[in-house]
Amino acid sequence: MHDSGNVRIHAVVWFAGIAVGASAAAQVPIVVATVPAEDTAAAVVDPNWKAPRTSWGHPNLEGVYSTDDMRGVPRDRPEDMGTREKLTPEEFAARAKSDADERDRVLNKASYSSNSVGSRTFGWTSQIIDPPNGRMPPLSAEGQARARPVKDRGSYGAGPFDTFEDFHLYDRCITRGILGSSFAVVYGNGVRIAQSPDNVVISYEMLADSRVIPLDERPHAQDSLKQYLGNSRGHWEGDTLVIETTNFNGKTSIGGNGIGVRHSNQLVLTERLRRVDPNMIEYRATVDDPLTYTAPWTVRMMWTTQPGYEIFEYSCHEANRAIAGGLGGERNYEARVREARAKGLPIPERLPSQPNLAPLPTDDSAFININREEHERR
Amino acid sequence: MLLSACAPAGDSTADASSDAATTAARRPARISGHPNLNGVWQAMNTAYWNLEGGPAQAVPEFWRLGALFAVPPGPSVVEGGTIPYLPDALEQRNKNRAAWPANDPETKCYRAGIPRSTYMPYPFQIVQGDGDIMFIYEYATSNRTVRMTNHLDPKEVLVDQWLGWSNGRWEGETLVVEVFGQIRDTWLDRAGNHHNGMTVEERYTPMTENHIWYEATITDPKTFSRPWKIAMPLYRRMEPDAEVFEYKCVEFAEPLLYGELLKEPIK
Repeated sequence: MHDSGNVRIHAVVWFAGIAVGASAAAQVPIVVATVPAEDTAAAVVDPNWKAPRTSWGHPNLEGVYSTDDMRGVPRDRPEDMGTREKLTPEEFAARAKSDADERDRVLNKASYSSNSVGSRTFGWTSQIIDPPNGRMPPLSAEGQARARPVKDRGSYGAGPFDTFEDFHLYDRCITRGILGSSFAVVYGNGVRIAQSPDNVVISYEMLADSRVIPLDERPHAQDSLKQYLGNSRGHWEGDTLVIETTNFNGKTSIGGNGIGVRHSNQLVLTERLRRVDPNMIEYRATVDDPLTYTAPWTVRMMWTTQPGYEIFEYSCHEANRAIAGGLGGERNYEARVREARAKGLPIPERLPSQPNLAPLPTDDSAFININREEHERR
Repeated sequence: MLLSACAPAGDSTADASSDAATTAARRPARISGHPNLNGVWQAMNTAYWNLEGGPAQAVPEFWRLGALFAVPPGPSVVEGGTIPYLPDALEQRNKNRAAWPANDPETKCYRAGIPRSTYMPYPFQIVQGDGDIMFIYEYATSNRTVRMTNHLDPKEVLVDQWLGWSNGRWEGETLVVEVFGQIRDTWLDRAGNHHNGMTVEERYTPMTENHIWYEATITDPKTFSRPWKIAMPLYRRMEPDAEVFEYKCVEFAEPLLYGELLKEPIK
C-alpha cells in the first residue's frame, strides 16, 4: 500500500545500508549455526560475567541493536510443542538451515529491494514465554469486542478509505506502539539505547519513535496525560533495567508493526532489559491489561548487534504519499461508479488506481539525494 | 508552608541535604571529564517566528483567534541583525514569506532541521553519557544522535536527512556539533528564512547549571554571501519532573494535507 514515495525512501535506505556495510559485489560467506545463539551469551558461558559499566557505575546498555535475529522465532509457540521452551537439536538444525538459506538469498542473490536478515539463529520455540504454553492468552470479552476495530482498515484492510482515520497509525507515520516497534518485521528493526545518569533512551528505527525514561523514581505523569507510547519510569534491579509504562491512550495495538488487537488505556507494560553479552540485550515485556487479555503474558526477545548496522533517520511522514494515494484512488473510483451509473454502464471493478495522487515533485528537492556526485558538486 | 518549598539546595535540614546529595549523584557536574549537559532545555525568544526579529503583528488569516495567535515582538538573534542573503535567495525568502503558512514545513509537521529544532516553542532533552549524545525534540517527536566518535566524513554521507548528520566534539567546556547532509526543504523559522544545503556549526556552552549559551554558524554559499551566526540562551526547564512529552503533530496536519481527498472534503 505504501506507494512509490515511501518505497523510494525504504529502498534508498536499504541500498545505502549495503554500501555502508559491505561491498555489494563480494559474496557474503554464509555459516549455518550449530549452537543456539542464546547458549553462546557471555553470561551463559560464564556465570561470573559482569556487564560493562558506565562511568557512573550503571550497567552499560548503550548501543545500536536490532531484533532481526528474532525473525526466525515465532511469537506464539506451535501448539504441539507444549510447554517446551527450546527446540530439539533436529528442530534447531532445520531452523539454522532455513535462516542460512534466507541470508544467502538476501545477501548474495536478491536485489536491493529485499528484506533485512539477522546473523544468528536462536533455539527458542517462541518469543512468548508466559503463559507456559508460549501462546498469547485468550482475549477477554471486551478484548474480543475491540479485536475488530471499525477503523484501522488501511493497508491491511480493503477500505473504503473515507478519511485518513481509515488508515492504520503505521500508514499515517504516527506510531507502531512500543511492542509493535519491537517485534521483528521485514526491515527497520533497529533500536538505539542511550544512557545518562538519570535517564535511558530507547529509540526505535522505524518511524523514529523514542522514549526518554527517567530513573529518578518520580511518579508517572498525571492520569489525564495519555500518550501513544504511554509514560515510562525506570529503575535498576541489580543489572536489570526495569521500565513500567502506563498512561497509554489506548489507540495502539499489539503485534508486528502495531497491527493487532487494540489494547486498552489501562495497559501496564513492564519491560526488563539486561545485558547478557557484549552483543546481546535480553528484553522481556509483560503485558498486563485485564480489559483485553484473560491473563498477563510475557514476551522475550534478544536485541542483538549486527555487523555494520546503521540507523538512518526514518522520516516517514515527510515522504508519505500512501494516504493521499489511497484517498485519491477511492475518490476516483467513486467518480467512475457515478459515471457508470449515469451512463447505465456496468459498475467498474474497484482496482488500485491512483490518478488523483498529488503530483510528485519533478525536481529532486523533495527527495533524499543519494548521488555522491551531487555532494561533490556542492 | 510555601516558603519551605523554596528553600535553596544545601539547606541545613537533613532532608534537604540528602535531596541535594541525591541530585548531585544524578546530576554530576561532569561526565567522562566533560560538562554535563543532561536536562530538558528550551529557548525563550521569538526566533521561531523570525530569526531577524520584529514588532508585534497580527496574522490576518487567523483573525478568529484574536489575541491567541499573533506574532510576539522580539529582537533579532542574528549577529549583525540581518541574514546576508544572496539576491536570488532573498527573493526566495520573500516568496516563502508570502506563501506562509501553507508552505512552511512546520505547518505540515515536517521535521524542523537544525538549528530550527533548537528554538521552537517546545522543550528538547539532551541525553549525554559516555558515548554518543542524543537530542530528543518534543516537536514532531524527532531526535538525532550526535556522534562523539566514529565521525562521518561529510563527503561519505550518502543520504540527506531532515535533521542531517551530526559530528560532535568538545572544545574545552563547549560541545561543538558539525551538522551536514540536511535536506534542503527545511526552513529556519516561520518567516520563510531558508537554505539550499547548509552546514551548521553548533556550539553549546554551559554558563550556569541552568542555562546554556547556544550559537549556530550557518554556511551555505548557494544562499548566503558569507557564513552568519545566531546566538541565544537555552534555559533548563526547572520543573522537578520536567520531561519531554509526545507532540505527534501528524494528526494535526492531516486535515490540511489530505482534506480535499476525504469522502466529505475539508476545504
